[in-house]
Amino acid sequence: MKRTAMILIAALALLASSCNLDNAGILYRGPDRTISDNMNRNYIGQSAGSLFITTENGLERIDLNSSSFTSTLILEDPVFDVYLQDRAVLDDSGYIIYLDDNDPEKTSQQFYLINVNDLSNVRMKAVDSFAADKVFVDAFTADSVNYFIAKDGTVYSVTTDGETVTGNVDAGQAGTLYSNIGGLRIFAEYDYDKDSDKITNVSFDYLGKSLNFPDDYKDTDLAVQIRSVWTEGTELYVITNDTDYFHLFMGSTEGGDLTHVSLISGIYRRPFPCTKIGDNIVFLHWNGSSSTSRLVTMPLDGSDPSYSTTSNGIEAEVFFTHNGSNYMLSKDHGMFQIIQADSGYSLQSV
Amino acid sequence: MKKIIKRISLTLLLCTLLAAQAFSATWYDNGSQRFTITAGPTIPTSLTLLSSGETFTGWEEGDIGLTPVGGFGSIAYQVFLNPYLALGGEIGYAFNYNVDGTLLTNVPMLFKLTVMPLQGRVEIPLSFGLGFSYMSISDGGAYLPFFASFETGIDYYFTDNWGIGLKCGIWVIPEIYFESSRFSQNSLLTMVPITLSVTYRQ
Repeated sequence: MKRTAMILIAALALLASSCNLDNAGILYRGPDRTISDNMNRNYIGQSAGSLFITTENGLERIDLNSSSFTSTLILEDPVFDVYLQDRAVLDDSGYIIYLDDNDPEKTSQQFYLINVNDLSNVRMKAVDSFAADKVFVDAFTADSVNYFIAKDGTVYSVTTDGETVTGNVDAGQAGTLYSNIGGLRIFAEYDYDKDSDKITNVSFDYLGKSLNFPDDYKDTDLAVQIRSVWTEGTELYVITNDTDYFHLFMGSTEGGDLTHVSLISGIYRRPFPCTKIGDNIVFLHWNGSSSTSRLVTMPLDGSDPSYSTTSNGIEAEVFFTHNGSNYMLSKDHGMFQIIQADSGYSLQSV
Repeated sequence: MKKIIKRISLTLLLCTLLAAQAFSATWYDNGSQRFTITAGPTIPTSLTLLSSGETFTGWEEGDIGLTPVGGFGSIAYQVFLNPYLALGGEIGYAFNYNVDGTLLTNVPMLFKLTVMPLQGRVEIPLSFGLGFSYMSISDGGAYLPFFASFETGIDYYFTDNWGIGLKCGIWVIPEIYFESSRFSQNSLLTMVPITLSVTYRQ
C-alpha cells in the first residue's frame, strides 16, 4: 500500500513538473505587472540629467538623477495637443527644436524653439522655418547630429543659436521618398495608396549613402518591412519584419552591402526602437493583437536570438543609457531597467 | 488583509465546531449521491515567491498582480462511502484579471472528499479537494500545477432533494519548477472563493 502511494505521488509530481507547457512562468510575474498610465509618451531627447518627452499633458522632463525617475510637467501649450511622433530634437545648446502638426495638406510647418536651459522658467517661441516651403516627416538624432527629413526626401542637419534654426542639406533627393526609418531612406515608385504590389524601383540609403540588402531579401516587399535602425559610429543595424520573422542586418553608415545576421519569429506591424547592448541588438516585440510583449536579444555573432516575456501591452518608446545602465521608456507603462537574464536580457520596472 | 483572513478562519472554525456538535440523525446512506453546481467570486489573498520567501498581499500594482475579484464556476459529483463521507470529483473554471488587464484562468480538476457531520434539512459540509488545474495567462504561459482546496459553509434543503448553499474556503495553487534555472519562478498563490451553490441529492 505504501509503495503504491509512493508511486502515485511520484507520478503526480512528474506529471506536474512535465506539464510546463510554456517557457514563461506565470504567477511570479504578478508583482512586476504594471497598469497602463495612458501617457502616450513621445521621446524628444536626453541631456546629462534629463529626458525630455511630450505627453497629452504637454512637455515633460524626467529627472534621471531621481531614484524613481520622477516626471514633471514643465510646459503646457495647445501645440502639444496634436499627437506627434518624431517631430522634435534636443540641441546641444539646450533648446528643443519642435515642429507643429504636419498635416499632409500643409505646404509649410511652424517651427518652435523651447529653452530648457532654465527648468524653472521653460519658454517656447515660434521661429521662422529655414525651409519655408517644406513639410518635414521625421526628426531624429544620430551620432550627436540632429536631422530633419522633408517630405520630398531631403535630409537636413539642423542646429540653433536660440534665435533661429539653421538647416544644411545633408543628403538630397534620390527619387520619390516612400518612407523613412531613422535616417534609412526608402525610395520607390508607388501608387497613392502604397499598395505593395505596385511598388517598383526600390532603393535604400542611409543619409545619402546607398545600401544593398542581400539578394535573398531584396524584393519590393522589403520597402514595407523595415522596422528599426540603430547606428553607433559607422556601425549600422537594421531590423526588418516579413510575414513571419524579424531579420537583423548589419552594415555601415558609409553605405555598401548589408549582411544578414539572424532571424527570430514574430510579427510587429509598425516601426519600433532598438538598441545595442554589448554585442547584441535588443528590442521589444509587442504583438498588439494578442497583447504579448517580448524583449528580444539578437547576438551580433549570429548565434540564436533569445527573448524574455514581459507584461501585457508594453510598447517601447526609446532605449537609453544612464550612468552605465540600460533603460527603456515605454509609451504607456513607465520606465524599465534592462537587466541581464539567464539568456539575453529582461525588463524590470523602475 | 490580515483581518479578512482572521474573519475567514474564525468562520471556518465556528462552522467546524457547530458541525462537530451536531452528529445526530443521518440523511445519507452508502451509495447516496450529490450533484452540485457552484458559482461565485474569488479573492486573491497572497502570492509567495518561494525562492526569496517574499509574500505579496493586496491588489495594487507591485502586490500580487491580480485585481481584487475574479470569478469561479464548477460542477461536482460525489457518492457517499458511508453516511458521513462522500467522495467524488469537481471540475471548474476560474478567472482573474491582472492589474495590467491580462487574464489568468484556471481549470481545476479535483478529487473531492466531503465530510458531512451535520445533515438533514440544514447541512454543514466540510470539503477537501486535491488535483490539478490547467492554468494559463493571456500574455503567454500555461502550466498544470497542483491545486488544493478546502471549503465549508451551509446548505439549506427546501425540498428533500434540492438545496442551496453559501460556501467559503481557500485555494492553494503552487507553481513549482524542478529545473534549477527556474527556481526563481517557484510561487504559491492562495485565493478565497465565496460561492453560492445548488445541490441535488438522492
